[in-house]
Amino acid sequence: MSHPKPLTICILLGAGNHTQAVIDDLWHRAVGTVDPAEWALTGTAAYLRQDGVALATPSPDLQLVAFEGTPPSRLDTALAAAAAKAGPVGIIGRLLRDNLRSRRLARAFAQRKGLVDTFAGSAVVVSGDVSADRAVWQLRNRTQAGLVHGPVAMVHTLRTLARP
Amino acid sequence: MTKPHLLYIAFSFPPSTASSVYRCTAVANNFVQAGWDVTVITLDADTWSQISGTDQGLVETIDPRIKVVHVGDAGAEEPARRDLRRYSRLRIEAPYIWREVHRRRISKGFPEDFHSAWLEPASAAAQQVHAEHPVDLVMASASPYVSFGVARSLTGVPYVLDYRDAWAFNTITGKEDFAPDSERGRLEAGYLEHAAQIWFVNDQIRQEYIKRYPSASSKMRVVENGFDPQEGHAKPVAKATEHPRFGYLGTLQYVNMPLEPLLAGWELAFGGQQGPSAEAIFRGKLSSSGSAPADVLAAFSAAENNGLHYEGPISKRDVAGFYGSMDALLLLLSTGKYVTGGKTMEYLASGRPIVSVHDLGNAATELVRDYPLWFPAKDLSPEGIAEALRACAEALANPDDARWDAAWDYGKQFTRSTILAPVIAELRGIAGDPLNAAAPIDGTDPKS
Repeated sequence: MSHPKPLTICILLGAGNHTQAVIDDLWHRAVGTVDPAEWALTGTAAYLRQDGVALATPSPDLQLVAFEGTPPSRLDTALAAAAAKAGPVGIIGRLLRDNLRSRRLARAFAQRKGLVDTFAGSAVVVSGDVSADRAVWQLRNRTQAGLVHGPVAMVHTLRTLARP
Repeated sequence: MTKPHLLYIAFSFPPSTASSVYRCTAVANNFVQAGWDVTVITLDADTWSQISGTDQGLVETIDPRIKVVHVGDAGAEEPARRDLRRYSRLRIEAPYIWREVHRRRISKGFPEDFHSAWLEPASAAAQQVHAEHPVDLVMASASPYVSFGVARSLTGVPYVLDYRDAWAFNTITGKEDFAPDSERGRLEAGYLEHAAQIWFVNDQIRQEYIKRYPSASSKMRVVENGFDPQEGHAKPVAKATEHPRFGYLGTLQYVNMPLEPLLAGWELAFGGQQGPSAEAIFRGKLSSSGSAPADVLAAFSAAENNGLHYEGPISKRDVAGFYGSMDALLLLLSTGKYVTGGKTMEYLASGRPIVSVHDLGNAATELVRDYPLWFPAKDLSPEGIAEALRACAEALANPDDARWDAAWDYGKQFTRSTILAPVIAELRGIAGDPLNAAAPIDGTDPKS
């Protein structure tokens, strides 16, 4: 009988709400996608710590890593106010707010060299929310790993990888 | 006598898990069983896997005599593809702008956001099918409505439009998306004018269409959704339980469905310091795209202590087993007078008690009103929902065999083949009409 082959996934989450629920969902879907007799799934989920809350891992096979983001500035307050408005001001406000969030997350993530190496060495890297898309996208020249946003693309990539 | 040939344009077809798939599969299967040759043109299976997930169990429900032609999306579904390697810098920097640029670029051939690029490759595939095996009748299933454009691309071949819902207005809000005299309305009028038949899932939608396009009214009919019995489908045994299991099966359109009131009503009915006195299992996608909204995941997570569990999507092959393991069902629907809900018939055919958690002005109410095991929430307040849940739990604690028998008998009328058989028989006459004969390959129209 052959041993299951190792398969690693990495998950990155930024400014979204309900981070715990998103990590749990992604992990459970990943586990449900691959045949445990064929694949030994392990992973790392890195998330931006919010309000000092530490999360719980849904499985001993998934390691959680919290990292600190940039504290909110006056620019954040101004963009949040603009983003809440209707019309063109709101559109531009949301655009700038989201852009700034994703840039900050990508910068904070890039500073964690060990974490970046772990992600680059995995089979699939999943962005768990829009603010994490840029950081994952920026890995495209560093790794052959599947780089995806969200559960549907993750499941598709895992199925493709796990295909006999 | 040669078999008539149906070309079925069904954007969503197994292994897709889109909401229309059960109906599309049943329509194709029933045509084959009625003696037709059937070719289905649908979206490429791998694209479905990328954009919303697939269910291989559904593929097994396709009659093997059906020929399925898969057509690529020509970039139409790019916004739903979440492979970050495909993302341009613009999509990373300004996703809303990228989306709008993409929409404008691909919406030129057909007035429908995002799916319109399918018109050209699917029409080419239809021409190819027709050249190889002349088509006697085309049926197009919406949504997306680009399927209608594909149906019309075979000049001279009669076609049926299966709207299911509505193009011109939102069936949940009732809000008009375009007027009959608008550019899109005139396009729709043209499609309706030349159609051999037009199908809707309920009379509320059909009546609204009659008002909008009266000249096509004689061709408009209701072809309700139905239930497709699966292996393991069986009459439930009415056995008493003090700790009932309630089930929900279907896509949870959380934006429109009264999920929060249900969670609050559930807590009122069954929550308590001794632990919950009932259990609810939710199976299905949490959105039509297959993504899982974080706030809904968190809501379910918080409700775990009250005995509510979300256990993810379910394969078609496990549906009968799911119903078999439940004592009662939760019929959670969006509010709207045009809303029937595809799962309503399936619930009715299960023979189990149904707790309705939806606006009683919905079209679905007409279907469930006379069901012997119906427990409607009188309104969508937590108290109203709790009252219905408690009433159902009481019936489950002291089940009445006669009531259970009557419910099972009532559900039999919703078997899909019972609904489709007379309609398909009628279409055989339309396909055989010489005035509607298949067009020559050069594209000339025998009617002109």
